[in-house]
Amino acid sequence: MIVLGIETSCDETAVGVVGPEGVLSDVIHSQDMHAEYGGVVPELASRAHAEKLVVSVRAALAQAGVQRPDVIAATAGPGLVGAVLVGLCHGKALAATWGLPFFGVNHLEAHLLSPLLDQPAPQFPFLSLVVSGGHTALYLAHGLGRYEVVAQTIDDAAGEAYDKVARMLDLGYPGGPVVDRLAATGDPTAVALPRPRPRAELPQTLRRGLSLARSDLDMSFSGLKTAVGAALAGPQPPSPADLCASFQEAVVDVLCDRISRAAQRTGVRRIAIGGGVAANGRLRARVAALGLEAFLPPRARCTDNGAMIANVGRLRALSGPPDPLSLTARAGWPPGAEPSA
Amino acid sequence: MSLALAIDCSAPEIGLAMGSLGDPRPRWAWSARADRGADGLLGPALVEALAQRAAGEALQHVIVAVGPGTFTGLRVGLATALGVALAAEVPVIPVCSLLARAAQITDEVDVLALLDGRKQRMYGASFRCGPGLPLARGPVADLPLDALLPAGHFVAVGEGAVVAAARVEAAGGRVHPQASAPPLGALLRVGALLPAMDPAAVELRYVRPPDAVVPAALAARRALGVGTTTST
Repeated sequence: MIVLGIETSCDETAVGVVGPEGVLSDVIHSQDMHAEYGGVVPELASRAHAEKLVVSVRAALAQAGVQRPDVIAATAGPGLVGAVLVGLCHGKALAATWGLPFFGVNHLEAHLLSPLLDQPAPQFPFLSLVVSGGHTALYLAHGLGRYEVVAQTIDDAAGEAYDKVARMLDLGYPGGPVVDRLAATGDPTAVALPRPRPRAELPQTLRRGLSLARSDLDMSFSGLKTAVGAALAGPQPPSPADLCASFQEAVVDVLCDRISRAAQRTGVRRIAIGGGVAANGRLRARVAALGLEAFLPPRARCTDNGAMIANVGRLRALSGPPDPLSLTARAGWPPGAEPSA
Repeated sequence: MSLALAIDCSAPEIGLAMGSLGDPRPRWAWSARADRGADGLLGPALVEALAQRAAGEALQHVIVAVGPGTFTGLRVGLATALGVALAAEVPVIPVCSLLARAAQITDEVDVLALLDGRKQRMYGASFRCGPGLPLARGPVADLPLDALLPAGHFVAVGEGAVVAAARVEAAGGRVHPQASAPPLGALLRVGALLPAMDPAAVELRYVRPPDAVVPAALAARRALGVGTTTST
């Protein structure tokens, strides 16, 4: 079964083709124009998706050596709705015209299951950290479509904190790669930054302020970002390299702490990571050293891509009926929930 | 005549039609009000449209209204049109949304095509209509209605004409009875008079630029030559 996957939920127009042996092609057009604005501008993203769709689909099919796939999959959410709509409508039109089954894929589920595209692939159950500019959550994946949130951020996503810190330092957008590069030359102990502790370890008086937290392993990155701002505004601002290294170490400490605690609590020793921040060198090194069985997708598979959408389409096509073409785009959609929920 | 699919999602009332290129009478047509969720309505309608093909009958053109109009609606229509064209390996005929509306009228009269641009502005263009392709009297504009109203008698078409019917009529205009309907027959008719192109070459005509503003702090720092823009 050959599946074409389309991803347009944010600022990548991505189309991939996946078959029984794995990824056959993965075409990604990244949108550079957002750097000028310091973040993704939804209207610009939607316009660019509409311009790149046809060339992306053609290139993905040509690179895969496929004329017509067997199944079409496209991101249906969560994401920027105007951007999601472009790929979703295109995918539905391809499916309708070719007379093929169509699957509207949850973008987070696609990241969560992207480690299954490479060998060795994790067996269910496994823990999966999805960490990007829009999402930061740790899931326990019991099986296809069955995911339990073990921990998640109650405010900023980790990638969002990277972008904001990069903006404070005038490092440009996106912040993750440049902070990672600068951090490699700095001292991670140079600036004392807070590590939000799990709620269960906080004094009772402080727990009341965490009413948003749904799990006692939930995370927060907003305070960390504020602390970086305070360090910069202080009498002796640290060097950008030291600040980036210290900030990155704090983020990675929090993420790895929650992974370790979740592994201990659930007894599940397999951990996979996905999402743009999963391409971060320090995070990958620390996760690999946790003493768990770590599944780290290639960096190109961490950021948004079409192959991960095709992967979920393929898994769903093997196990259940297609989605109706009345499926609509959605801004919010927890992985594992029915699209109609 | 060749089989063509016409798509218009420029305004809240969207539509699809299947018919012969050049013939304003569709074999099958569908329209619906879609203030939200156009994508959910269009998918099932597309399946029904494609089912109108007779056995062995191949689609040969896709005609799509490419703007101006609602940004999201235009993209829903274009993404759908491009998907059909790509899968069917047929060319696309892009048509100005305002010209398509004017082309609903084949009498020799002056026509003002209007689409509501919100923010107290209209997308508008004046045409001299007739049995052929409507002749543009000026460029497609994004202006307050008063700046678009022509002198003398005219027929107003498009959803904008319905929204501003009282002001149009006070200015000497007559609102076309089918003003807000998607101009599906007209798309089929004028599609035969316009060039077809490869789907990859089709572009939307937004007319209005996006509301994207560089944050003041970023702009100020750049003006001072502080900071860098890094794209990775």
